[in-house]
Amino acid sequence: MSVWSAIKDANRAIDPEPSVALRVAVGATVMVAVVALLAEDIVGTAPAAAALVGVPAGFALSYAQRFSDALVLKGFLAIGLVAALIAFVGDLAAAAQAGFVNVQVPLAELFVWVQVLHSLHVPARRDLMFSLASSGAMLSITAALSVSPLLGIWMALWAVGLVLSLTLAYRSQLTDAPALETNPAPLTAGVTGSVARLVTMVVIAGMILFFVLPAARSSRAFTFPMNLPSSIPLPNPGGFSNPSLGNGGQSGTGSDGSNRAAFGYFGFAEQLDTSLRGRPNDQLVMRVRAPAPAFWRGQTFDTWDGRTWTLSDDEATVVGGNTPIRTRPTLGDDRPFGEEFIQTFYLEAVGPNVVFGAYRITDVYFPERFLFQLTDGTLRSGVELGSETVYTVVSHRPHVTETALRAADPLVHGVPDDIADRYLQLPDVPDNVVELARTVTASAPTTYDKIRALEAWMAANTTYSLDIPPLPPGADAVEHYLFETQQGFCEQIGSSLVVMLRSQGIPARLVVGYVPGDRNPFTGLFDVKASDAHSWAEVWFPGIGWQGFDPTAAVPLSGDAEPPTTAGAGVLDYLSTRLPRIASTLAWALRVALVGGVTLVLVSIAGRLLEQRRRRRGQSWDEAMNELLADAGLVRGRPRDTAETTVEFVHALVAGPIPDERLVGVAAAIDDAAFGTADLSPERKHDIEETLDAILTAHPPSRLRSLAR
Amino acid sequence: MRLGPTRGVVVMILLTLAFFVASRTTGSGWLVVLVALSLGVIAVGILGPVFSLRAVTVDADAPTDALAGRPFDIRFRVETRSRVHLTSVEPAGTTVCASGGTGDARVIAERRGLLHEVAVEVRSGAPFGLAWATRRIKLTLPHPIEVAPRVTPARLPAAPSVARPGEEHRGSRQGQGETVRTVREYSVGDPIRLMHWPATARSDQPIVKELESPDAPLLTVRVDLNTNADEAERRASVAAGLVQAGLAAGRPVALHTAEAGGPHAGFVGSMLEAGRRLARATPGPLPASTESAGTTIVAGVS
Repeated sequence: MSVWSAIKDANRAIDPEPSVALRVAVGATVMVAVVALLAEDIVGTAPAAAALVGVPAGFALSYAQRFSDALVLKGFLAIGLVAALIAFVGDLAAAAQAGFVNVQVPLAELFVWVQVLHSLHVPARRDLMFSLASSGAMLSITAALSVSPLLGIWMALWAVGLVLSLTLAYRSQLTDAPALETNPAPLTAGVTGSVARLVTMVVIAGMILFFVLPAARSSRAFTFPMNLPSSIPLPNPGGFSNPSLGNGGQSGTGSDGSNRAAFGYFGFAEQLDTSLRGRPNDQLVMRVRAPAPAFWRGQTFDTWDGRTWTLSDDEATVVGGNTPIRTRPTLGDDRPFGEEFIQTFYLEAVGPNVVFGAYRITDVYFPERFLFQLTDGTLRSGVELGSETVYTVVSHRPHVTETALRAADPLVHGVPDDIADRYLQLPDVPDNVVELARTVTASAPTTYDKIRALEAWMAANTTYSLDIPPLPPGADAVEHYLFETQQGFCEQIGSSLVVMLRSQGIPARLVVGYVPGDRNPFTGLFDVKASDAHSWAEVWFPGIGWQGFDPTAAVPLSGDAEPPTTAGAGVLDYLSTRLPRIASTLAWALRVALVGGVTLVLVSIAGRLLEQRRRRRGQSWDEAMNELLADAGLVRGRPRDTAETTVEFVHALVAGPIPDERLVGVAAAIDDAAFGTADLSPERKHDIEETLDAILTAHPPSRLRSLAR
Repeated sequence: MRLGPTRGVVVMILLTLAFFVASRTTGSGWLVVLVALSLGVIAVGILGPVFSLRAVTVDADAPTDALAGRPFDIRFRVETRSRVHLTSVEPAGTTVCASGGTGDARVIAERRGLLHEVAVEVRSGAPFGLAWATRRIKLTLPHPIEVAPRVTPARLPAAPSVARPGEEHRGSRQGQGETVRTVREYSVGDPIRLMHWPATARSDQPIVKELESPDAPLLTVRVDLNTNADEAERRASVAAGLVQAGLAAGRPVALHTAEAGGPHAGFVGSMLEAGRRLARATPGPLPASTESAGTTIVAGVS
């Protein structure tokens, strides 16, 4: 045997998969995974176009060539795979320099190319199953990179495709053995109901498992996502910028805030004027991947003049040069190390050039090499932070509990001068404010208890309201809130707490940032809206550092915080608050599915008709007649066995769904045409065709009969 | 019931494990959703065959006669909500795919004997073929199958001369004489001319005559199966061969066997009858030998 013969023998076609339905199901499932990947805008244009065109075309070609050895095609596929691998290794080398996470994009592209190339040669069932597994791997890459809730729709479609494909593959596998019954049920009989039941079962089982599976978490073993779609440098490096405030800027026009940008929070500015009114809307500003809820701190203010907070020292120092960017401890950061707390921020809207993160940020994986750090620890970027910006922050949070805070009392252990100079300073605070603070905290034994006492007093004696009257000119904002209106929101509450604490010798400052937002249990991300912007008080504790306190936001102490241990934690709450939106999304998805399904059916029918026409055009008369007979048997529930002769098949038809003896004569004529020594005359052929037509019209498929009835 | 995984489920478990590890390093919640979905598919794929098989019922019907080593059909009626593979194990047969209905499956009985029941294996991987559950079911037949032994061609031993002195022995076929030796129930293959109409009229079933052969010597085949199973099978085959040869030579053939009810001696007029007798034959005491003039005792199988 020559080498070539040996190669041909090793590559000969083995058991080509006969089921078109299975091929269509697997092809559709693969396409769902491809489209999900493309919808996330993860891969480049070339692989995207190749996938959209190549995968369906490949499946069609593969079906046409299923009996072929396809040696030449296999050669091309091997070359293509090697080329894709070489390109991947090249991309890998470039991407690895920027961080391991960037390897995922070349990996996704490699998967796309593998999928496209592999779809060109899927003759057997096992090849189709490989395609299915490969689509799952591709979807997992999409899942790893996606922060979009819409991925759920693609995953649901993929799951339906997976269930359908596996069901058909199983049925097809069974038909490798001869059928027991004379008229076995077709492969696709009852498959719709069956798949609907199975999908329900899989979803129920999946939901139960989702409630017990551990929640996703990030690992320090890898570097983290970072992305900056457009690097627009700011005119004043180290300075402050916040395009979300619009043209009105921070100063605005006054108390009603009416001309501000739709979603900007005026606290993200160089000063915080408590006389301003108006709140940001519910626009999504960022998503945060974190193991537990926390305050996403932005910046702090230390100087109070009775109406406005400012920062006494906004001197910025450049930090960075390496990945990750390591920050420096600042005043009051007593304990640099604690529990590691990793957060990745995915910005959805333009915002301030402030790097957010839980206290205390130690490392930042940022798409720029440098950041600017202020003396209070605030981190600013030198570029505008627009939507699609991604950065990861590693914080080290001291393990804080009530007991730890009571033990670390600044009033007992003393406050260092530098902290006292900066964080105990006060203007002339009205006496009634100081007296109130003294009275409320008099019976509290520790600093922690004093803070809680003040919070409790405010909770009992003031009302949280976003709709409060303007601050009169010359009025002290804290006094006005505590003694006049007794209504306010986070700025009034936070400012009052800081001022009253300072009046009692407790170092405190005002912080602005975001509350955690709602956790989406499916994406595992906290969805932060513009309206989640917040201000609160931070108090210095010796040996611990700065600890946030806020009577209006239920953010637990880091030591008391219970991160979601299972992936499904909070699912019911999440769903119950979003039912109307989910319903409308489902309705939209159903419409899309309906349109897609109808299109698929039409394309499938058109393809089948074209295929039949193409085949008949190149067929001899007897081949065409045999095909007609085979089709007639198929639609009447008696498909032709590959080993059956025409006469055998026709006898089976006569004994079964087409009880018409004339069919035997038709079969004899077809055999005459195929194997006889003389050609059949055109008249005779015409007669046979008419007879067959009459027979088939007289014995329509059972479904048509029942419809006719 | 046995449950076995396939390569498919192993691949799915490995993929799911990879998704899980990725979810624990990348922090992606969607990966956990994917893990949950994959585990859901695996759970349904593994439990499905068990529940599927529990709902399967099978009945069997079979012909009354069969020949060892020769294929014959058993009719199965399968009730199932999903498709299953059905394999007859005893007697051994080919695997067929049943989707709910009735049909014939080809089997081969390797040994002679009475088959009162058929053992089948039903396999289901429904709904995904990720795992296969197998259940062995014994189906009691409405009537036993009498499996005749294979026929080992045999040469008749030289018959003692029964010709009267001065006469030349004429070979003739059984039943060529006119003397009625006995009557018996009709068997398939009996010629119509042997019908004993008076006896048939008195009975509720057809009765035929057994005629005394006028001149052919009696062939008595004594089948002793008091040995191991393989040897017993061989002896039965040889006996069948002797009976065939005897009948072909036109000699009256008596078969001495042991049956479940005790020793049994009787004439056999056809291979069908002989096959049934040999199918029913068991180890045990044979009837007393009735050696007499004109009788050939075939001791080779006893």
